[in-house]
Amino acid sequence: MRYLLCIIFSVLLVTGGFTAPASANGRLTVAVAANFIRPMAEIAEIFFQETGIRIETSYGATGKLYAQILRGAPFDVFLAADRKRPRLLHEQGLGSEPRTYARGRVVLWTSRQGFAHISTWQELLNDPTVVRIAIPSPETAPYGAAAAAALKAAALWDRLREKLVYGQSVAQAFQFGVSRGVDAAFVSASYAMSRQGRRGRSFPIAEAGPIIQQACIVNSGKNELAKIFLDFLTADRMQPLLARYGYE
Amino acid sequence: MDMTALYLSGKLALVSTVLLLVLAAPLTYFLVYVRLPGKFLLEALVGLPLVLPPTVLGFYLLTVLGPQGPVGRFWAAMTGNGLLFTFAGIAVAVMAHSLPYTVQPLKTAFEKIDPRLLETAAVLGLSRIAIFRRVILPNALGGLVAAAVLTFAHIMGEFGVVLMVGGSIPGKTRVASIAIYEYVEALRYQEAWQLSLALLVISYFVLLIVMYLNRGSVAHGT
Repeated sequence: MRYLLCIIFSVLLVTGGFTAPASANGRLTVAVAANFIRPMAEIAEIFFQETGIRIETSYGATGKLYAQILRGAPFDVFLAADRKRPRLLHEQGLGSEPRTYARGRVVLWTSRQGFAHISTWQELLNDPTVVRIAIPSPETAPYGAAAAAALKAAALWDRLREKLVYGQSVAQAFQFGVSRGVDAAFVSASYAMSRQGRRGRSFPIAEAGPIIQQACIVNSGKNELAKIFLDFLTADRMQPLLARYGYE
Repeated sequence: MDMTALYLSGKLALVSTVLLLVLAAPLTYFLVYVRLPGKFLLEALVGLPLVLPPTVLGFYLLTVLGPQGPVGRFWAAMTGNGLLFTFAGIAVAVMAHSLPYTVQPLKTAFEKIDPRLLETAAVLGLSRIAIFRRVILPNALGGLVAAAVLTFAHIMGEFGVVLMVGGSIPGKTRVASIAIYEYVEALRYQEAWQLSLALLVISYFVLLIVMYLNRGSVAHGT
């Protein structure tokens, strides 16, 4: 008995003795909307090279991250995929004045071949072989909300509703598309331009205007570092990088 | 490989397992040896996390551990911090979820102890606490080991409850299972493979250790 307890507690002591890797100084925790995770990886790397400030990201659907911040999640910066949630945070006294950091576009993407004759997203959706369509949850993902609005505007919503498969975020909708679980997926242009995305084909949705993505500093976080990061992110010189990932 | 997530899973499993063993042993003693009308009601309650969907349990925990919940408020008064999105928060959550995995093997082991042994100890004047420490626990060593291992393994793979109560905060609540889920979602299959393999190897070695310890206890006749 004592022998067993000795083992358990010595293991506990040893693991307790490990310090968490790196110090908490010069570190920002950023909540990132799933559509922006690809450019974010590169931006975080450049930012670290220039300032020595390391960025930890936690990503998910905008609505989910917003709900987490409301309940006190320890984020320093919130990069949303819409204007609504940062504004709400600001109004509730939980976030700074929102700033636009990117404009994205929603596209219909398919990994299937053999749609050479098709030129618009409505045509693709009307193809009888398209049985399942992924869409990010309109409740929590702004790209899903924009896609749903475009479907309704094109009077396709009621007819296609049975075929829709909901992903928690843009990332999951895209994963459904890549794994061929669905025939087509509504995703952000950033995903359509990724390595896997370029293997498929994407159809722009002109009816859905640009998705204005805003960011704000979470008031309970490290405001000084967060401001440095937001200034960096919204600087003009970021434009070419953002353009490479399908943003303007 | 994502060492932070793996380290976090290990730490969570270790801390929660030890705390659960300390809490579950007296609880199991109560369930097995104390006579009480309607005890089955309590037993069913203890076993509830076995059958409850993790999201349901997670939702209730979110309410209880949140800033307005009783536990969350108490914790905030004691430490000044909330429980959601913290290591302490997910530790409490996985302990609630894993309680039956600790209690069941202990219960089986306690029930197997010869009652004459306990009667003799009582006749010799040992107090209830002394009997528990010096007769029951040493005789239930196999059960303790089984409980520790089941609990540890269960917590290493914990997913839904952690996600609901802890979100996915790097270094704080993003445990290995959540990291794997996010790698798959981000189509980073190589990283998902590596981390999954690490969990597999760890689980295997945990089982090896148990088998080794059990073999020892059988040989010594305890």
